[in-house]
Amino acid sequence: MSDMPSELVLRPFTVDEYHRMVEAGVLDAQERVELIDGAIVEMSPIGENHWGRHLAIVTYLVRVLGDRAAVAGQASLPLRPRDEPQPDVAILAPRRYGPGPSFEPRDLLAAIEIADSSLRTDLGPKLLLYARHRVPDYLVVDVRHDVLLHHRQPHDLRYGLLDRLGARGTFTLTALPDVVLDAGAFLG
Amino acid sequence: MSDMVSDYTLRPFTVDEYHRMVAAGVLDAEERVELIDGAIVEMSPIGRNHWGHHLAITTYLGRVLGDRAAVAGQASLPLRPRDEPQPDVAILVPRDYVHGPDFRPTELLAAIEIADSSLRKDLGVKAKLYARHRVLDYLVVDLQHGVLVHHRDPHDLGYRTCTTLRRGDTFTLTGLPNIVLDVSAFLV
Repeated sequence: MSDMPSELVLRPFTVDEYHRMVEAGVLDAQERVELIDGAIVEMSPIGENHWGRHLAIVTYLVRVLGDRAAVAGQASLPLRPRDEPQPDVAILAPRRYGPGPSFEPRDLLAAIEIADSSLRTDLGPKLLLYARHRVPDYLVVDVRHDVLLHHRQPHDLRYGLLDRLGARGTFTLTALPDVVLDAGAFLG
Repeated sequence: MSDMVSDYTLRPFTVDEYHRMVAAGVLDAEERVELIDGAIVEMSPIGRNHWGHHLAITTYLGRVLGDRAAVAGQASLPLRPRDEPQPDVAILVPRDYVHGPDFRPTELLAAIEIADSSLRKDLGVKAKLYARHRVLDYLVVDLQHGVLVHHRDPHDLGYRTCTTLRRGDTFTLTGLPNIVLDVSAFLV
């Protein structure tokens, strides 16, 4: 099914339909799936390397961002009408996200994907997704090439700026301009 | 949305999950969708030409098959685990199908697709689908070229015998060997 023939047109689903599938038990709430442009897709499995990297990044961000931002590890973020990605790490505006539909797209300050086998999707459809929802900063940790790809200035079709950062690079996020971040903390 | 499919692995759905989506109102029971190899895909719209052919073929088959078979126009046919096509015309074992989900795959004697814009799909994924469920005869009415493509001898990956028939030709179905059918009736 992964090589789905191009002559088929998928029936796209909205965020609300996607939620109803979970309520109806068609999808399990714990299932590793995302809604990408109306398609329900499987997330790549978390490799061992990926897992350790994920922990290191979350720990670092929690420490340097303090109460300036919330750092979410496995958040499923409804971006209507038909996207609900689950970025590896989400940097959110610091407030309480209780149960229920309290998340607003503008709360998402930055999305981070740790890309190993998923590099093509993270730089392809995932990048388009975050850009069309105007997520100000999108970071891709390219594990294979050991670089951090920092995308900024989203517009409809992509990000206007891309910086490739090595282990010694530093950068700031658009929404948190006075917190200097260390690229080395994201890389091996 | 059709562009992103090659990068991602779609989350496949079973026939039972597909039915639960209808029960939960995620999908409308009247929606023109099919389940093909776990993917929920949109059916091509019925063109004016297609509509007339559909009526002519259904009428012809109803007349020549009499009580030897049932001719269904818009039947959604659950073929577990993860296909539920809606062939333009289905030729079924003659009995009462009114009560509940009691359809069995072996009752589908032949499937007919009327192909205009959907020709590639009907000769590709649809042929594979009917073959893997061992539907004995699969007919594609190719409106673009004015021919009837008769598929027989299904196996796991496709049909072994594929005959292109023209106006004036005759043929029989494997499940109804003594009823001679007229190709001209399919190519109005």
